[in-house]
Amino acid sequence: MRSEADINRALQMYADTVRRICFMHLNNRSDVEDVFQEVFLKYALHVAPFESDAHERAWLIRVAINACKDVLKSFWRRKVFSLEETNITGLTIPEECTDVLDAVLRLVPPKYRDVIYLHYYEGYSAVEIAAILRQKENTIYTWLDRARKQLKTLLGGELGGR
Amino acid sequence: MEDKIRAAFAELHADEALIDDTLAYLRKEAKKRQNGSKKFSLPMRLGAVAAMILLIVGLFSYNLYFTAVAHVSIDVNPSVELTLNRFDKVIDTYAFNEDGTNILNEAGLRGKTYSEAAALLLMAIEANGYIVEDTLISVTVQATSNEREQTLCESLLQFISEKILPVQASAEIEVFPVTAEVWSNAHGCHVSPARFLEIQELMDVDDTATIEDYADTSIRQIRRRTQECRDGHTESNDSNSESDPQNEQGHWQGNGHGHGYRGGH
Repeated sequence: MRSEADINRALQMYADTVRRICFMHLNNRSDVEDVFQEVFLKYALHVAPFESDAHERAWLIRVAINACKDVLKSFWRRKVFSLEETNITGLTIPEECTDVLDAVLRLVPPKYRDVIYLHYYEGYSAVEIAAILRQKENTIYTWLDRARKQLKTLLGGELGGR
Repeated sequence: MEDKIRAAFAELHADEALIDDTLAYLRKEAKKRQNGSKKFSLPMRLGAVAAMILLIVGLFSYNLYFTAVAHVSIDVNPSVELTLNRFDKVIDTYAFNEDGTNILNEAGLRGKTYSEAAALLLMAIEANGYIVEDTLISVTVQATSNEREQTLCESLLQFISEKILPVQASAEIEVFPVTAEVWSNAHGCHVSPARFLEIQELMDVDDTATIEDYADTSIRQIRRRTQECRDGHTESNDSNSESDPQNEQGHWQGNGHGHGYRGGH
């Protein structure tokens, strides 16, 4: 298991990234906590060294996305109703950002949210996203294109690719 | 629009409570795992490996010790058999008749070397009055290798002769190997291999003879009956019939079984 100092450093560097990924997939505080803890537990148990910070970040992003997908696939998530549902607790979102984030959350299928986030916020290229999501490069281009079109409809305005 | 998206995501942060809870959770997990590994410390793990090795060696040795490699059948009138392992130790005993059962009950033979077991067996047989004048001691050996058979036959003949002849000089001792097939057929008929072969020989000259009829008859008597049939006599197999011309003292005998070791005095 990694040292506490190492875990603290990772939390400082990647807590927001993991939380943003959770935001895009989960709307239940308890699910967010579960995934957040699971991702950093996996990190703590992953003792093999990373080649670089970029490698470490990409690894955590992939683990977080997969963990979110697992929660959404789970029987309990689908069958058990939570009182907290629809309430994005623990987040303070400025009013001017709610439209954009709401539009991102309304992107379907959810994988479009991942490519939008990874491309526009994290700054990954389609090639890098393909590597993180273990998809073909062309698939990522297609998803990005469709996601942009959906966002354009939802928000209006233009979105450019990098 | 890109900037708006970037700005919107930038506003999302992991709250302190989430980070603190995660840290507390990870500390708990680390402690749990530390205790788990303490539970099986290096000496304990080494001990477990050593125990496993011992168990494997033990099972292998057990299998090695309790694998039968030879059967020594001794037929006087008590008819018994010793099963030997590769270390020449007795791992099992078998009685072909009631006299044999009594003798085996008297002499605890398991775990003894075959020579110790043979000595105890002969002592018990002698003490119970089975070794009298002209007693025939037939010993058969069936082993997994010819070499072992030969060694056992030679040493048993020498050993039994040394033990018995000083006590009963007129006793006749024969030791010979038998094939696995003869051994198996004899067991199928619940008689010793020596007696089985003797009855087979009688059946060659007496169509009416059966193994069941002669299963409780001593080898000496069966041999007499065979000789009578060969000589054209038709008398019944009487244990008190006249002396056996084949078994005169001091004569080595062959009976056509192809047996290799026969001893007399």
